[in-house]
Amino acid sequence: MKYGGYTGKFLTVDLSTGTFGTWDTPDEMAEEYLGGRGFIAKILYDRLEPKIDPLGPDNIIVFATGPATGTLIPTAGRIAIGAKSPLTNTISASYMGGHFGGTLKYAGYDGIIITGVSPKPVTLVIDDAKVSLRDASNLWGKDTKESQDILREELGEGFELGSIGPAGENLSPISTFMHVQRAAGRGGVGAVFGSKNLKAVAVRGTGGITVGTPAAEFVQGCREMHDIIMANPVRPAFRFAGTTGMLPVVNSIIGLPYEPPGRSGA
Amino acid sequence: MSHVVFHKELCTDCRMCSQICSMNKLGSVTPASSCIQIDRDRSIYYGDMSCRVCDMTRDRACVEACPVEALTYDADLDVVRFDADLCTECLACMDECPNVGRDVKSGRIMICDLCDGDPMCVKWCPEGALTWEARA
Repeated sequence: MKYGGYTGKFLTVDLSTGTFGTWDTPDEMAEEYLGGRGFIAKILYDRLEPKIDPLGPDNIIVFATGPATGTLIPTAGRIAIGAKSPLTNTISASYMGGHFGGTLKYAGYDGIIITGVSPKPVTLVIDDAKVSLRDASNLWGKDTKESQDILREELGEGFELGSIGPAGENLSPISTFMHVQRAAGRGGVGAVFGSKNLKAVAVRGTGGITVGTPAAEFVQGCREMHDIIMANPVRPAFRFAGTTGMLPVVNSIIGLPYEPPGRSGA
Repeated sequence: MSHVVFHKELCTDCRMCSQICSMNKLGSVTPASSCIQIDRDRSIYYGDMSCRVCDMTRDRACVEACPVEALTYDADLDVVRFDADLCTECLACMDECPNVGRDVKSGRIMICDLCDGDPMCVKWCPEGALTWEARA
């Protein structure tokens, strides 16, 4: 990988055999697709056969970050999780915030590509370069908060945790993958985790991300972006309420997808 | 005679402080090695944050523990200075103070020098959860 900001490799996990590997992030993919949703679209397009069952063994889950994730660039902490959606039967990508994305990069990976089906419920544990699958029978059936509390106790401090709940286990096509109180749910990605018997993912990373721009220039640029965001009048609403802080704004431009009164049943 | 003060009610756990600290000291964003660490009570949703950073309350035990001249006290600016070239990585300072860290990759001791009395973490905190205050 000749570009800064990337770690240069994806972790590949085959749940059927319990084996791991790495896949070098191609320079061309970074040039043409940048990261996140772009990487997911490219990887799924290249690797998925047409007409596969989204909840069958042939589907692939891709976690993807971008070159800005986990760096000083403001608001760049997000990670995208994609698969062929059981809801729409098309490629979908869903995003969540929190420190999961950044920590995955500190562990040394631009993303994760998960294939196959595990014979029993498992948790994928990534501790820098040490990757393992851990029996998750004790977590199956538990909600996301409870699962992550148990995992935190078992694994110790410093891990960023994400898991599915009973909805994902029961293959609900609107189920989410949760990282504490943050959700990646678009397209029902949780059901794909459930179909693969992958209950949870834990990641801890102690490494760093080197950026392409000289450090002083990079810090200066981030500072400017930071100051612009801080001066924005909408920022306090986000700080207080997150995505829901945008609702009044979206509503004011008639952007909410609801059916106006009087038109139902039309 | 000032130090970094943490206000947990304002902290949003964004960890901008650890990112800028590691970028400043190591030239790469490596929050795990940062001189400032934010911990969050994960046992409940929206649990409280706590902060580990040099609070200058241990009478510079790290400087006294250092067998060589890698750690020195700069009385003019009231900060501890660290010279990585002189450090023998004996880790005596880490035994003395829980706020001393170590970069996993390079093994460099990560010790807060309060950025010469103008801490980056305070300057970059978006919520004002870190302040630079005179010691009582």
